Amino acid sequence: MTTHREGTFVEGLWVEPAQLSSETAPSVAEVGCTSAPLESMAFHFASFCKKYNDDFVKCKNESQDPKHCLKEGRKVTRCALDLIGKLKENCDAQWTKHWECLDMNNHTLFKCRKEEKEFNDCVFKRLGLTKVIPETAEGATPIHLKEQPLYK
Amino acid sequence: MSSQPYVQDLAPKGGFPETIQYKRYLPRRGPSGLVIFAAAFGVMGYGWYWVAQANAERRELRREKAWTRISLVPLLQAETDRDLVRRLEAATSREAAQMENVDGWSALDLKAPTKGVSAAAVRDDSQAEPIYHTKKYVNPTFMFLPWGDDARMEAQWWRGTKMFLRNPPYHERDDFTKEKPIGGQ
Repeated sequence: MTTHREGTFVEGLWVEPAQLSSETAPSVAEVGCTSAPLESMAFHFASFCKKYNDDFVKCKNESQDPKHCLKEGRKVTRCALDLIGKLKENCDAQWTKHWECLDMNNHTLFKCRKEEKEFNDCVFKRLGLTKVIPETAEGATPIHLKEQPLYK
Repeated sequence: MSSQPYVQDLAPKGGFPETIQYKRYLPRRGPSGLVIFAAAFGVMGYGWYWVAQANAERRELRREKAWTRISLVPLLQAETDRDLVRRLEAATSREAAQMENVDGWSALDLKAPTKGVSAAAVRDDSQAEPIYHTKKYVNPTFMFLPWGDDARMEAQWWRGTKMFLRNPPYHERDDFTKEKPIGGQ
């Protein structure tokens, strides 16, 4: 999608203390999540914020300029923050158990199916979101719902 | 040669007792070769079947992992975009502040006419051409950060780079003076 290269800094690192000026872009609260909570909520985020994600991706396809899609990016971030708030309010315990289990297991999803099932059940009950893995074969059970997996 | 009677080591009269086995006994018994091959391929086939099942399951796990990452891309890209805009704007304003006495200088603009770049892509101080002619966005390749600036964090030895520890920048070397710069006349 976007072709930003990793920066190679030879003599040191570029840490920029300046903040984004408000005439370029209104400030938005950042998502402070670490990787494990983001990984457990990834599929729910995809279905909850589908419109905003699709808008952002379409906008990015038009141009690589980071300034071009700031507005759509803010909407995506705000939607993510909304989802995180809802998850904390409704399913905090199950979510925490799941991502703590992921942290203990090198972020392998198949090691934490029990906690994932509890989390997904809670999310479906309270927020109505289902985890769907796109591009699975028709008629096959998705891997996270398989009863007797070989890798567990 | 002669018809002398010869002595052979024969069995005693009446034959050997039944309890001494002197004849070879190699009965053809057990499974035939075909059966052994079939059993071997059967065992291997059973193993291959489970290998195939496990590979299919690994593929699905890989698919799940890939879609986890793909789902998070818009969120992370939006964050990175904001960060990039912040950094590039700070660098631009720093460069503009430094070059405000130079007329015709457009800070951090790769599509502004730059003195010294000729239409034939060789150095020519009388011409000024932009570096990139494309309408698409171009990310700057090089970034200059003044030494001693807040925006610059010097290389730390524990990060694994010795570049700055061995080679201080030109004008911070001990034997540099304005009158006699190193390597200059």
